[in-house]
Amino acid sequence: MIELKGIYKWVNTGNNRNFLLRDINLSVKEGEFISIMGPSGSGKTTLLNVIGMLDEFNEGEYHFLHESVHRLKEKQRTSLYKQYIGFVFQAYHLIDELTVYENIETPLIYQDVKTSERKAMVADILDRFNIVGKKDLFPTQLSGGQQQLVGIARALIAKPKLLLADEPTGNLNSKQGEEIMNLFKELNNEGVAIIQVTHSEKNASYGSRIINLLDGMITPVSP
Amino acid sequence: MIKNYFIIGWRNLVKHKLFSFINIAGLGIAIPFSLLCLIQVVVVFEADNFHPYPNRTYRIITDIKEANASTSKYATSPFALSGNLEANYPFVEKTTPVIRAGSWELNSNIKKINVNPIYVEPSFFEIFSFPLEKGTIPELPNTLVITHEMAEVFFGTENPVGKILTHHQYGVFTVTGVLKPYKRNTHFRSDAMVSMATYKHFTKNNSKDLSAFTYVLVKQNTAKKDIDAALAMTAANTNKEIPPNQTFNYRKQLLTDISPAFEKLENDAYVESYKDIAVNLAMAIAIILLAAFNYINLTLARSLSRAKEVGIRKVTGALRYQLISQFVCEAILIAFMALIAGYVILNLMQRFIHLRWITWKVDNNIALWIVFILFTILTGIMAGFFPARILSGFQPVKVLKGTISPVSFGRIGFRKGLVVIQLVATCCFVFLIASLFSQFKYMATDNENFNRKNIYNISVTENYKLLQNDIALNKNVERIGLVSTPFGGMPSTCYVKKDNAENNSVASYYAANTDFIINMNLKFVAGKNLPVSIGDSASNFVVVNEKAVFAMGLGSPQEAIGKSIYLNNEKLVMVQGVVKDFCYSIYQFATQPLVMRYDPAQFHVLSIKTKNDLAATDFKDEMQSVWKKHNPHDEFSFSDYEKELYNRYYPGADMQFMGMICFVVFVISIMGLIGMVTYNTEKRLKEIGIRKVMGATVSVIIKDLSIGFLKLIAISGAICIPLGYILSNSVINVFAFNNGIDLPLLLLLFCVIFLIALSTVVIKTATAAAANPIKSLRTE
Repeated sequence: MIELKGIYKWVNTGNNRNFLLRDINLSVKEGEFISIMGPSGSGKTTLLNVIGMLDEFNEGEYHFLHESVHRLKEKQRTSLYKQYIGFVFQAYHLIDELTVYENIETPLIYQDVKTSERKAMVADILDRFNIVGKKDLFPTQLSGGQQQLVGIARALIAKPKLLLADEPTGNLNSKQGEEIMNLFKELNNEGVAIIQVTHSEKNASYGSRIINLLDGMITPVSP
Repeated sequence: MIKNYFIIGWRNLVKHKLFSFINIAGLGIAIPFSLLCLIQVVVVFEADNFHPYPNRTYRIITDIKEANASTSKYATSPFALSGNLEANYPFVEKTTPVIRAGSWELNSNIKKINVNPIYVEPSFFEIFSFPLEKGTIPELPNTLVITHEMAEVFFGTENPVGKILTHHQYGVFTVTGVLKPYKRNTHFRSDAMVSMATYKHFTKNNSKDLSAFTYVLVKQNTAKKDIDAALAMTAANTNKEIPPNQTFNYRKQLLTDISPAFEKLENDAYVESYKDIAVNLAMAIAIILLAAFNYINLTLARSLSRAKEVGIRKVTGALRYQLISQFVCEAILIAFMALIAGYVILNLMQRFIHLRWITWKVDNNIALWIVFILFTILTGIMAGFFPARILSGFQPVKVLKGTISPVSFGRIGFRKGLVVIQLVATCCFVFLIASLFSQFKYMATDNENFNRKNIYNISVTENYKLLQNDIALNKNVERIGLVSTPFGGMPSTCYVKKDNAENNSVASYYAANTDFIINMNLKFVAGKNLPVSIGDSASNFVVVNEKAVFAMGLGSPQEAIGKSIYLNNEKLVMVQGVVKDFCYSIYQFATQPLVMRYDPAQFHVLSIKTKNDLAATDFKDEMQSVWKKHNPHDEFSFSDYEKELYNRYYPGADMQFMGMICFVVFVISIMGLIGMVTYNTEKRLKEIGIRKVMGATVSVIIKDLSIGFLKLIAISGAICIPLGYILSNSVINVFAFNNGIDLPLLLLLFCVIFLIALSTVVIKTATAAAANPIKSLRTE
């Protein structure tokens, strides 16, 4: 599904070129569950953002489902990722002014889904995540775990093929974290590919493959 | 999707109540002035829309081609044209000429008022809709109908039909009727309609003069080319009679096409041109742009509060145009709330401000509201598009990482410059208005020119002697002066010269007695007051002012005493005294020569000086009972001089309006300042947090944050005090008689404005400084 070839990303500070990503080669098949690990500043989030098409890279090739992402314009990239990719953040990043229902609905609005269809889809996912009773609350009225559930629901509402999660349990206590990870496992079993960034060995073990990053490079590790 | 935009817009409004309030209030106080301008625009298109035959009434206008090929266009045409057209062309149903008479002073014995009359034929009332309330239309010479308002002014509640009004040149006019109140917005705007017979009686008409407006009512289904052909033929006839260096060309103009005027016509009185419309529209947009500018400034300053939302929306797949339309929708929402607020303010203004030059009502309210709503949407787009473009350009990665700072537009120096300009403009404007205010106050209240305290005026006719004697018996009366017309009004004129060989000088002429001059506290620089006389004939002594002495070349005031001068070319009179120059009529103009003389035939007013501390109403009652004894059938006209002059010189409604504009300009500039301070503190939030953690106290931080603004304010002050002073001075000097600039008042206003500006800065920075540093330092 994803094919990264020789990806380089750098920023210039003064006369020095500071590499964020160096020669990343990575292929992800449909339905895989990958965990990216590494110390702070090793480029985990940058890599995730590159895969999610939120960030640009300076060199290399990126193929996503037979599209060459490095050749696409911003508008085309947007329409590509809004169709196939869902994002989950450590800080949930829900819109405070919208209710749970409206937050989950947002991606569908941007995909021009009809109102009646939207209603049905949101109702389904609320039901599945057991948050029907919370649908009219605002994010600030929810606990962290519940907010992250909403965040995941929003990421999944448009039925993406790939879920990108940046330390999804980073702001949660261990029990809530475990619940989220079990949910990820379940989703993965249903065929959604997942790439997560995590610090925790335990969370990483939910995945089928672990990629270790150090100073922007993938370090080989035994599976 | 639009609904979603409005929902989130609304929730944002509710969530940030203070900023929503500032934004709505800022636009809301500017909008009524824009709405007023728009009303004036709509009104122009509704001029003269109440006549019965709008589609077949034409005005005939004239182009005159000179020998040098230059063409001048006139709204008027020769007086004879109307008759020619009606007599010679069968398609003409009726014609009527209308002539504007210029300004007349009409006198009802009690009141003398300037009116603005037009001459009309009886047929005028058949073609145009000016129905009468009472009486009949004017046909005979020296008859006229007056408007409802004029009838009230002249005759109060009495029936004006049959009453008499006098004109100094054309003599006595009989009022034959009163017009129903009609819409002010017509190019026939006038106070009186005088019979055309009067015009014919007093004026020898020259057929070539473009003295009349000619209106033609054509029969139904008349072809336009027939009219054009008839006009061409008539013009050819006219051209035979006029000198060959000119050619006349007549054109027709449909009644509904008269206003607004898209071509410049001479003599086109009371018709607004498209330029007036453009000016009004430009004003509406300029006012709202000022306010919209602050909205932009403030929205951008607070851009961080929306940045996260932009980031999330982009990640969930929003395209840039979708975000732009969301933010523009929000601005439109704010603009509509401001429209509501502005409309309420407009209605309040309408209730409290009565200015003749402003129209508040239009006929077609639907059209007006369409204009209002379009304008509001335009406002929303103007205010919203710029911040929307910037906000929607945020990179989600940066936003969600938290490495973004508030945005703004232009260089920092540019925005600082704007703040200074706003403050300086506000101050200068306030200074100007305040100086005008103190000048009006000076004119309206007792000042050094002449005494108005404890003076009461009663208008009288010839037989005032007995009345005067009776009034003198009243214990409150100190002295009774006699005068032709009290100071403050328009005096009559006379001609004076030193001897027969010289040219005449024009002078103001007051018939006055000795006591009047004492009552007025006039200061003599030489000679003495008029000698006391009670005779029936005019005396041969005059009192003049310094200017008259100078104009006649009589040397110094002392030398002038005892000299004889010619009054109105015939009578030799002797200068008895010279008074210091003073303002007796219009404060704008320098003094004119003045002549005062005992002239009993001209006495029209008893100028009564009373003892101090008198209740004016009681005194009026006493005087009225005395009056009734002597003049049981005539109306009693009494005025409290001090009050009368106050009302004459103090333009209350205008000052209110000016005051409101001052307030709006002030609020707008303070909002500009708030925007800047907000931007600055939001930008330095993290720095403030770090400083606090390092141990800085709140007061140190406030000082640190506000010092830059204090500099801006100081610069503004340094510019605006001298600039405002110069501007005020130049305005005040329009008045030949002025009280100088009220410097303490200006300084007080300056202090108020800058204290408010200062406290705005300090309050905003104090809030930022007092915030908990943990919050601003936390990153996610």
